[in-house]
Formats: sequence, structure tokens, C-alpha cells
Amino acid sequence: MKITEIQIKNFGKLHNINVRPLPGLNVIYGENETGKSTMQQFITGMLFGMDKQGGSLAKNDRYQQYEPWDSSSSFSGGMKFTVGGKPFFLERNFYHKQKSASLVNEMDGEKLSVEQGDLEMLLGGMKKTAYENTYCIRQAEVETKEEFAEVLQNYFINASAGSDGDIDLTGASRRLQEKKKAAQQRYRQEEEMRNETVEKLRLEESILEKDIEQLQSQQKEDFVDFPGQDPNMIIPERDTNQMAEYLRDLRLKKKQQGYLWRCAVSVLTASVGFIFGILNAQHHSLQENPGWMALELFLLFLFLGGLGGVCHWFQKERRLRKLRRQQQEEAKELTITASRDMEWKRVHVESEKQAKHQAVEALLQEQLAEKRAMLINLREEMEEVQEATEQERELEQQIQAYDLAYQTLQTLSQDIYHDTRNQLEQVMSQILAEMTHGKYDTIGLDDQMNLMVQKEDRSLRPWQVSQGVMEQMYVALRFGAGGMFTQEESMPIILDEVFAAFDEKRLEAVLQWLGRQKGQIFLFTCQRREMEILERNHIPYGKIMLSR
Amino acid sequence: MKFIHIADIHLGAEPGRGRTIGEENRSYSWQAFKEVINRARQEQVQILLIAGDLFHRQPLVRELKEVNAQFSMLPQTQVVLIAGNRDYLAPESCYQTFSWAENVHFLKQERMEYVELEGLDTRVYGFSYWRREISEPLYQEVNIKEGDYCNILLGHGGDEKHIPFQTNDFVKSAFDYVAFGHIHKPVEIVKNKVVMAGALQPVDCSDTGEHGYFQGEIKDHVCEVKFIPLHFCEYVSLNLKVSPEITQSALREYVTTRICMAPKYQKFRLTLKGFCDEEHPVDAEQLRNIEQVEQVIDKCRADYDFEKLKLQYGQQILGRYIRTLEEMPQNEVTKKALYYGVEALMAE
Repeated sequence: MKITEIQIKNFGKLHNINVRPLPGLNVIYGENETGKSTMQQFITGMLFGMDKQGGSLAKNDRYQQYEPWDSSSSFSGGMKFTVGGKPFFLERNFYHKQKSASLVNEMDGEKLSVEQGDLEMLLGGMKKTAYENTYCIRQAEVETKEEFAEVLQNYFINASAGSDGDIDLTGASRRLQEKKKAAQQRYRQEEEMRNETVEKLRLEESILEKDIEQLQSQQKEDFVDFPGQDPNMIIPERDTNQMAEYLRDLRLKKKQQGYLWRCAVSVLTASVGFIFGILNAQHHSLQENPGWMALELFLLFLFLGGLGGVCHWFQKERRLRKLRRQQQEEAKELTITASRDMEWKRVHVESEKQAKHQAVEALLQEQLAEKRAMLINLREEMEEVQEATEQERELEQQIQAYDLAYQTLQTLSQDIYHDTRNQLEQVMSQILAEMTHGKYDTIGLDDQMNLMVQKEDRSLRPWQVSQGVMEQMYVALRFGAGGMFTQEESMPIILDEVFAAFDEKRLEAVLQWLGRQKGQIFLFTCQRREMEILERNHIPYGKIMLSR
Repeated sequence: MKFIHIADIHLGAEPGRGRTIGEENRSYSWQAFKEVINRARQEQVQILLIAGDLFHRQPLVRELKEVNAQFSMLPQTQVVLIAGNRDYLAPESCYQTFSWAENVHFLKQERMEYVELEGLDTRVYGFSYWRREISEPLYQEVNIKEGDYCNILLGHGGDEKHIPFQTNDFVKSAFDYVAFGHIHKPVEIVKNKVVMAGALQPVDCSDTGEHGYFQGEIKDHVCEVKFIPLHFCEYVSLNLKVSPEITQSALREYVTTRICMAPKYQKFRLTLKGFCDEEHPVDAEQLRNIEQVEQVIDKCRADYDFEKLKLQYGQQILGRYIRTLEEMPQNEVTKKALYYGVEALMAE
């Protein structure tokens, strides 16, 4: 960009000034209080506008500083410039109540819009802060402002060919981190919900396990109980003692046999009496011999006695036999009924018990099976629930993606940062070398964007070198950085009393270097020595003299 | 000989603890099952084939009793069933000891067996799952016993971990009909011969499309089946292509009118695709609240033209960022990261 004409109607102490600078080096000379700074402010104001600020800032506000106190309505001016060889005419009214700006392409008369950013585009996306920190070097501001470190840093990040520097990387990183956090929070919520479910299932599980245990122990107890018999279940063998009965019967039998035996003896006696009585009566005359008669009588007695004994014993025997039979029958009957009774009772009770037991057992078994199945199901469900849900997986992916985006941005910005920084350091070193005739040729920046200069293997900070070198370093930084900000076409450079502290020799070197630059340079000075050196070195320049 | 083939009834499917399926869906499986029993009675089918996963998990005794009661109400039907991977025969499974009604044949073995159905000259081959996963291709070679019978294979599986098989395994097989279960989508793998019955009713929202059972008839070793849908519940996938011009209300109205026309048993699963305005993303939650909408999957991306951005921001961080991520191996994470990063960088 080259400024071809500056038209000031009213701006601070300058009124109706019309200046046509050269495309190369211009020296604006004026004694103090002639409006050199005002002119600079006018140029930056034209390029970037000027906003009235309120509040505490108003004190330092350039708007108020330059608002003419007598005719604020004509706080305005115009500027002609070329960009890429095309002529443009820019007019501004800075008065805050009638603030306006118009931009015309003078080649085809096309009206452009400042509000829409057409001017910014012509300036190659350069922002006011960047401009003021690079191209516009003011009196006593050789050292860059602190915010410049930030601007530079941001610049390195955003920088690259044709950058419009709109991207706010720190903002982007912050947004990514915020979104990641939000996703993480949602993930945690999901997880928590799931864990709650798992907990609930765990609880159910423990209840089920307890139930099963209880059922099992119940089952076991019952099994123990069953063989230990119920007192009712003991079967009384018999009412009478079998052995006693047997013995009794045995005795009766013996007695009966005794009777039979006696009966038989009686039969024998009776028959002996009878037979011998008849024989005696036939062979002997009884009346004749009383002996025979007596024998006969004895025999008769024997016979009758035997007969009586037979009747007696037989009867006895019969009675006994009857009794025995009766007893036997009784006993038999008793045994049968008793055992039948008992059997019936036993079977009945047992089966009832058995059925009852079986039912209980079946129920237990069923319950147990049921509970066991439920437990399997519960465990299965728990396994399923323990797996991350679709939503969780999605969120997990999101978190990973945010992380990846963040990391990639960091790495990229580091790369670009280093690339750009290296580039700037090279440019700066070259400028410094030229300005110092090779005395210092390596200038760099540390991570805090502080300048460092390399001399004989030593890194020196600006305050470790002479005032002159320090200022040369900052000039190199500004020029270098400025060159990086707009690579297509450099912006006009404004140097305001920058070289006041330079000695003759150093100033000469700087001016020679400036003379070789392709861009437009405005060198404001209150001394004549710059002009003298330029003339002595036959360096062409435009001379603009300001006077009171 | 008429038969009905069902599978994956998932009786007792829990409603996924409030995540995938609503409370009311729980009873669909029982309703559908009872409906099939009714139809089997009405149609007087001779065989009811249940190709596994009758239960969603291990059946409880009362559930088995209920099912058995249902089976016993079929006077003219013999039921053949196997246990699938969900209701597999765990050692403690109630299946192990349960005694079924006369007309029910449970192919309980772990190895291939068959049951001869009295009076039908039919043999049904099959076996039950004794573990949750079987990765051996056990259906590849099945020996069919000699005899003039109608042979049916009852199987469960078809994916990598559940007895994988290929269509070729059955094309030439001597089975008159192969009744499969496990994959929830009903499909005739080989027309009229090898059939995946599909879930009787959807088990979760991902089971979209019609579900039901197959009814068929085998005559002289020629089988013919047809699919009969049941409409207790059906999930419908609705893909919506979104563009930045479509407003939320227009989208909502479109969905509402579309759903209005649909029968009540249909539940919708919306997938939003395409591009949305990055400033005003679609409010998926609002769509979710429309009646009959079961799930909304938002796959919208902000409408970025990466090629143009790359040109515009060539060497700058944005351009470099897009290129770096595009050069990474593409997966869901890198795709998302691309959008997130660009979105963050472009934000004002």
C-alpha cells in the first residue's frame, strides 16, 4: 500500500493540509509542537478509524486529543492510496455524531463499503494493534508494548501466507475443552445411572442368595427330621406278651397231655378190672370162695374206679383242649386285628406324612429352582448392564474426538508457531545484520516473546546491550514482524523520532537500509541530521516540512 | 401336514431397565405367544415348531407352567421346541426338571437328536443350547436316519458366536424344511425350505420392520411357507435428511403428519442425517417427545464445505487442521474430531 495524498481538513492542530508523499522514503520534518504526531495519528485514524471512548479511558483517548475544539463538525479528512497499483480514495468524518467513511475505487468509480470490511481487505487483514506495534513506531515507544507479545504469539499461531488472522486459537481450544467437559459430565451421569442399576441388581442378588440359602437349610432340616420317627409312628408289637402266651400254652399242653395220660391209665385200669373180673367170675365160684369174691369185688372196684378216672380225665382234657383252642384263636385273632389295625394306622399316617412331606419338598424344590433361575437371570442381566450403553459409547467417542481435536490443534499451532517464529527470526536477524554491518546477526525470541541477541555464543537480553543496539533490535523486530503480517504488499511504515538515540554512524546504516526498502516509509523527525545523511548518501526521499 | 414356525419369542423380556423398551412392551411377547397358540388351534396345524429363545432368560417354573398350559390347550398339535442361547439349559435351569404335556417334545439334548411325531410320519431333528455361545458350525453335517419320513431340522443360531452356517449348508440337504431362529429379522434363506423365523415381535428398537411367524404345509416332501405378520408392536425406521434451511417446527410438523398416518402399533425410530446449521442444531429431545416416537438418533453434521475451507485457509491452522485430520485413519473419532475442531475454530 502506498499513500499518494493526504488531505487534512481539520484534525487537531492541523487544518487544510494537503500532502503528496513519495512511494518510497519520506521525511516529515518539523520542530516540536508542529503537529508531527497529529499527522501520524491522522494516518492511522484514516486507515483503522478512530473511536470515541467513554469512561476513564477517555483521558488517553486519541479521539478527544485530536478533536478540534473550535469546529468539531469538520473533524475530517481524506486520503488517496494505491493497493496493487489500483488507486483508491478514502474519506472519513471522525466526528462522533456524524461518523462516516467512504471508499471509492478511483479507477472505475466503484464505491466500496468500509463497514463491510472492504478497507480491511485492502489492508491485507491487518489489525490496528498489529499495525501500531509494527509499522507505526512512535516516539518513546521503541520498545514494543506488552500486549505486543500476545499479539505476536497469536500472530504466530494464526500466521501463514495470506492469513486474515481471524482465527482465535486460544478461544477454539477453550471451547473444545469446555465441550469435552460437558461430554464427560454427561458420560459420568450415564455411568452413574448404570451403576445405580447395577447396585440395585446387586441388592436383589444378595436377597436372592439369602433366600436360596434359607430354602436349602429348610430342605436339609426337613430331611434330618424325617427319619427320626414320630412317637405315634412306633408300632406296639402286641398287647400280650407273645412269649408268655407261648409258655402258657406250652404249659397247658403239658397239662392236657398229663390228663390224657391219666385218662389212658384209667382206661387200662378199668379194662384190667373188667377183664380179670369176668375171668375170675367164670373160673371161680364166687360164692364158694370169699377170696375169689373179694378179688372179684376188688376187680369191680378197679374197673369202676378206672371208668370214673377215664370220665374225669377225659373231661378235664377236653376242657383244657377247648380252652387252649379258644386261647389260641383268641390270640390269633388279636394278633391279626392288632397288626391289621396297626398296619392300617401306620400306612395311613405314613402316607399322609409322606404326602405332606413330598408336597413341602416339591414346593421347596420348586421355589429353589425358581430362585436359582432368577439368580442366573439376574447375573446375566447384571453382566449386560455392566456393559457400556450405546449412549455411553457415543459419549466416549465424543470425548475422544474432542481430545483429538484439541491435541491436533495444539500440535499444529506449535508447528506453525515454530515455523513462523523461525521465519521471523531469520528476517529480523537479516535486518539487524544490515543495520549493524554484521556486528549482530542472530536475533531471536524466547517463549515469552522477549528479544534475545546472539553475540559470540552468548545470549544477550536487550538491557544487556547498548541503548543503540537495543533500539536497533526493536526496530528489526517491528520491521520483521510487519513484513510477516502483510506479505503481499507492505503497509506504510511510520517512524516517529525512533533514531534519536542513534549515533551518526548507526543512523547512517539504518537510513541506508531504509533507502533500500521497497515499501513506503514516513520518518518523522525534529532534527535535520536524517535529511543531511540522506542527501550525503544520495538516497532519494520526499521532504515534508511542517511549521507552526 | 400344516405347521407353524416361530422363534425368539423372548417371553419375560425385561424392559431393558428403561432404556430400550417401554414398560408396556413387556407384555407384547406373551400376547403374541398366546395369539400364535390361538391361531394354531384355529388353523388346526399339526406341528408347532419353536426354534429357540422362547424365553428371554432362564424360564421360571411358573412361566414354564403357563407355557405348558398353553400348549396343552392345543388338541391337534404337537409342539417341538429347543432351548436357544438366551434360555440355554444351565445346570440349574428349570427346563432340566420340568415335565411337559403329552403333546410337547422338548429336544433337550446337547447333541443332535430327533423325535418322531406319532401319526405324522415326521421326524424333527434338533438340539438345545447348553451354553450361551456355540461357535462350532454344528448344523453343517447332519445325518438323517433312513426311512420314509418327512424330516424337519429345528435350529437356532446363524451368527459367529451362535452356530454359524451358510446357505450352502442346506441347499442340497435332505431336510424337507429347516426352521431357524436367533436372527431377529424374518427371512426365507432358501425359499420355502430354509427359513429364519425372526423374532415373533420386536425385542428392542433395533428390530425394525414387520415381525411375525411362518405358516406352512408339507405335502409329499414339498414345502410351502408364508410369512404372517403380527401387529402388537412394530418399530419403523424413519430417516430424515435435514438441511440447514429446514426449521425445527417444519421438521416437527413433518414427523407428526407422517406418524399420524401410521397405525398405532407402529413406533418410530428417527435418524436425522444430512447437514444442519451449526448455530441452531436440531432439537432431538423435542422430536423424542412426539407420540409414537421411540428413539431419535441425531447424525446431523454442521454444513461445512471442507474443500472450500481448505482452499480458503490453505496454510493457516484451519486448512492445516482439516488436512491433518483427513490424513488420519478415518474412524468415528477422527470424523467427529474434524467437525469439532472446525466448529471450534470457526466459532465467533
